[in-house]
Amino acid sequence: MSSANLLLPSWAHVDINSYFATLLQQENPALRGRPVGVVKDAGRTCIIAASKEAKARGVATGCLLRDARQLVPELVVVPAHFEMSLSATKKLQAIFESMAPRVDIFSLDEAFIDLSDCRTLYPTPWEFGRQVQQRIKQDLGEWVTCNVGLSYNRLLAKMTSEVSPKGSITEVTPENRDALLASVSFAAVCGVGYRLGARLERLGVKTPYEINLVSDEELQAAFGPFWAVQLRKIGQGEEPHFFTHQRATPHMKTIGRSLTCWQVWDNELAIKRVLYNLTEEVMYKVRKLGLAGRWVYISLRGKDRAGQVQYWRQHFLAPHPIRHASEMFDIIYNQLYQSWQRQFPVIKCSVRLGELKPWAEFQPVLWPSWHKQEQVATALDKITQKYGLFTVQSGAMMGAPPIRPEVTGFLGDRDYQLSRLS
Amino acid sequence: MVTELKDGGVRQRLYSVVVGPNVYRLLFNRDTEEWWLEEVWCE
Repeated sequence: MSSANLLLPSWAHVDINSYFATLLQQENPALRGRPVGVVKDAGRTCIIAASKEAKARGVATGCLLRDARQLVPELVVVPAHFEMSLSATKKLQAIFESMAPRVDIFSLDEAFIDLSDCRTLYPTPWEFGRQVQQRIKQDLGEWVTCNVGLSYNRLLAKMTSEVSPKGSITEVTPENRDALLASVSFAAVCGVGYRLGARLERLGVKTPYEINLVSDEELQAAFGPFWAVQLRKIGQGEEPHFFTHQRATPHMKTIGRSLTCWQVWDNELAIKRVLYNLTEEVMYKVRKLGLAGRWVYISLRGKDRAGQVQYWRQHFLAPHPIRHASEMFDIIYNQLYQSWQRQFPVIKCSVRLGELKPWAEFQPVLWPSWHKQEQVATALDKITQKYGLFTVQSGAMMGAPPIRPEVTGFLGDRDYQLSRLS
Repeated sequence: MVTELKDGGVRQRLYSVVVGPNVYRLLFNRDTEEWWLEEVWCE
C-alpha cells in the first residue's frame, strides 16, 4: 500500500458494482446473493444489467435472456427501475460533493473525484476510499458496494477500478503503472471503443503497454495523426483527449432519444407516432437546458427478410435554430423519413438534435409563425413544469400512451437528468 | 429504501417496504398526500 506523491494531482474513480441489479437487490432482500438479470421491462429479452452473482457465472450485459438462462437456469429476471437508479445517483452526487469540492459525475454509477484540494481532510487517498465506501453503505444500503480506483490521472484511476475485485480500493502509482498497463485489455480503457480495440488487436497489440512497442510511423499509418497521438498517450498511461474534451464542453452538443421496441413496427402510423413522441421529448430537454440546435438526425434499424441487420440514417442541417417539436418533426418525418424506401420492418428508432448552442447565442428569429410556435411551446413547458411531461399531448400521438423518458447507464443527458430532481 | 421521483412539479416518493418475505412498493404523492400501492413482490 502506498500513498500518492504529494506533487502529483490525485484522482479517485468511484464505480458502483453492478448498479441496476445491486439497487434492486438492496430494495428486495429476497434477491440478495442470487443471480439476477435486469431487463428493460417485463417481457423484454435483452439483459441490460446483471448482478455480481450472475456476472460471476458468465451472464454479460447485452446478452439474450435465452442465452443467460442456458448459463444460469435459476436466473431471477426483474424489470429495471430507472427512476430508482437516478434517485440513487443523486444521493451519490450529494455524498461525493459533501466529501470533495470537485466532482464529475461520469455516468449513472461512476464519478471522478479530484482529491488534490483535500489533502488535509484525507491524509492519504486510501482514507478517502474507505470513507466513501462507508458513506455509500450508510446512505444507499449495506448491499451496495463500490470499487475505488486511485491515481494521479483519470485514465489510470478508472482503469484500475474497472479490473479490480468488487468492493476493492486500488492505487496506481508511477511505480506500478506499467504492470497495470501490461495486464488489462482494451475493454477496460476509457476512450478506446470496441472497433479501435479490434484494430489494435489486428496489429498484435492486446494491452495498452504493447502500444509502446509500435513505432510512431506505424501508428500514424494505421490510425492517422490524431489517434496515433492519443494511443501513444494511453500506452504511456497519460490522459487522452477524451477526458480533457469532456471538461472543456460547457453544454451538451447533441440531445437524442432512441427506442428499441419488443416487436417490429411495420405500421406507418405507429412509426409516425413513435417518431413524434421521441422528438417531443428531445425538444423539451433542449428547451429546458436553454439550448437550440440545427443538425437533425434520424436513424432506423431493423432486419430484412434474410435476417440481416439493416440500418437507414439521414441527417439535415437546418438554416435556422430549432427549438420546437413541430419544426423538428417536420424535418424528421416529412423531409427525411418520407425519403426512406421502407426496405425493412423497424425495431429501433433514433432521433437527435445536434449543433446545440445556448439559445441566447443565436440571432433572433423574426418570422411571425416561429414566434407563434414559441408561444405555444412556452405555454406547454409551463404546464409540463407544473404537472409533468405529456400532460398535454399533440394529436400526432393519436391518443396512445406516451413513451416516457428513460435514464441510460451512460447518462448521456446528465445535465438534464441531474437538474431534474433538484 | 426511499426513491425520490419528480415529473415537472409533481413530487413523489417511492417507499420499498420489506414485510416478511414480501416487498411492497408504496408511492406517496407529496402534493396531494395520497398513498398508492404500486407493486407487491412475493415468491
